Amino acid sequence: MRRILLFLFVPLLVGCGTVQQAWESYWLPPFDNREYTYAVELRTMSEFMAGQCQDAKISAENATVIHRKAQEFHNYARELQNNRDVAAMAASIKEITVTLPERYARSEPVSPAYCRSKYSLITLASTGAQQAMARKKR
Amino acid sequence: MMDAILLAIEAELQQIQRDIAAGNLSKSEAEELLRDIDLAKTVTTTAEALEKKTQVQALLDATITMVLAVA
Repeated sequence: MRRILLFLFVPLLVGCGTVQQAWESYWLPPFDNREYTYAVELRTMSEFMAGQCQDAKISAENATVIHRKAQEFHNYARELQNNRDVAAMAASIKEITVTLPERYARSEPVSPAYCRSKYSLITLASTGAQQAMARKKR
Repeated sequence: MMDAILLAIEAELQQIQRDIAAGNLSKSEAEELLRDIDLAKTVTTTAEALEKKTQVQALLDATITMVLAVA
């Protein structure tokens, strides 16, 4: 039995640099279906919207819709206890989307290349967040 | 798992650089996208940290269950 405990404790001590890290890991909130849904929706919406970048009118509407969704995700994640990592990911995704509606609200035209890259980066960031949340304890 | 996303972000950076060279992006658009590249990388780094914490949590749970079983 001592060997089993040793087998579990040694990688644990090596894995956790600090007691604080172990503490944060222990109190990590379990899988949250709503949070996960936000990441899936942001990923799917950005994948779909990237294909509409040639149409400036639709893209202007899309910009508001995706920024609103990212804002919702951030507002939801930020108030949950011990949820620092997900809240930080949501904040960064929101930061990527925040300039989209601002740019479409200006008088100068928005290039399709900018629109495609923007949605591509939102897709990648949301996919990363989704993958990490998918591995959380059920 | 996050390596594939980091590679895709690098590929997107190269695409942005090609668009800058081809004149497909204005200066302000290019600057904004380069800032977004950093933000996407930050999300990936945080996602990696969250994955590690999840692994540590599983190990802690197993250890505590074992200790309680022995006690």
